Amino acid sequence: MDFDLDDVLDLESDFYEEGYNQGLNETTKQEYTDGKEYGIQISFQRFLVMGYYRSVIEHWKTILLAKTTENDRKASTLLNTLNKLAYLVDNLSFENTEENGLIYDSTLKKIKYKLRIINTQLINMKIGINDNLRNAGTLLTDIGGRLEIDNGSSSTDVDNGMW
Amino acid sequence: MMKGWVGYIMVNCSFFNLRIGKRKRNNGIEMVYPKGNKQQDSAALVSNLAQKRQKLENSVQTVSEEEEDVWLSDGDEEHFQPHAANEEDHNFGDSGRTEGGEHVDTLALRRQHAKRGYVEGFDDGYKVGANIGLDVGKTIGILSCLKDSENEEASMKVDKIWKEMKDELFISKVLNHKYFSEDIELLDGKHKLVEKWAAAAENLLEEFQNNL
Repeated sequence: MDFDLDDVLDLESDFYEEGYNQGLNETTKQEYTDGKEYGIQISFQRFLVMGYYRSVIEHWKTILLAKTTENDRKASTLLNTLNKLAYLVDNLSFENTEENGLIYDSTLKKIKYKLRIINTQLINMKIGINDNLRNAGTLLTDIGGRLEIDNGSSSTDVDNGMW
Repeated sequence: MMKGWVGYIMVNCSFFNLRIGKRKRNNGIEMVYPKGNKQQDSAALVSNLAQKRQKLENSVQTVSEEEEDVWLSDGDEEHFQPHAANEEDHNFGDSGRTEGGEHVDTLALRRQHAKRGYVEGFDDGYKVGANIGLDVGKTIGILSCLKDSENEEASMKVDKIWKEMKDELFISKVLNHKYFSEDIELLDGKHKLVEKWAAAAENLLEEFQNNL
């Protein structure tokens, strides 16, 4: 029977390695899970507002198309702008890269600004559109909580019961 | 097999060291652990672990006692020495080992692994959460617009479900474990609660659009 003494002596080392790597993998796995949960939470909060604005854009487009004529230049300008804003939201990437983060920030800024202006114009046109942005901030905070910031502080009610 | 677990325990004990390492260094406690643990028999390893745990507990206790005495007791000023005065606090010594008895390269590797794991997890989670957030936002947006609309029927219908919708789509309800698998992916790729409210919103929107 072949019996390699070195193999026996290495057993201890092998067992140690096995246990060490297992522990390391467990640690990494836990970090992965923690990171994933946090990633889901952050992106949920970031895209919640985008979804809201996307529906507002669609709602305004529907009413403009139903209540104005093709010859209405103001309406067609507004529709054109709304289509551009919808395109921006629809083409946001869900990949978490630095570049995408910057695109997200500039898109959100642009959309907020443009929608505020369009909102006023639509109310003045008296075509059945009320102020759909008035309570948006409060509503979205009620649903998604306040967005966590880098220093790790968070709204306490958001953490309650999650994960 | 047992030795395998010893190694496993070593990793986790060392990870514990990592988490409280700063406090230990601040406290200036020198902790020396034998080199070459890898070749020691299991009894020696278990003994070392027990000693290590005891020293850790002692160091944590000492730190908490000191932290409580924020202003130092009267007369302590004469004996007080800033922690940074201890040279040992600022380096790992000649052995290349940390206070936890772990080689600095190993510690760096672990940190690298842990950090990479967290970042990878965050990126993977980001995609999942973005989809859910966008869908929830769209649903809220539709119902909000209908609620504020001049169509009284639509507005009343939304009013009836408004509170329930807000409660159920609250972030902690949506991101509840029951909608996710063990590896935090949506079960069957769908979020039942979000889909339920999305369908309700779409139905009301359709009614509204038909009456325009």
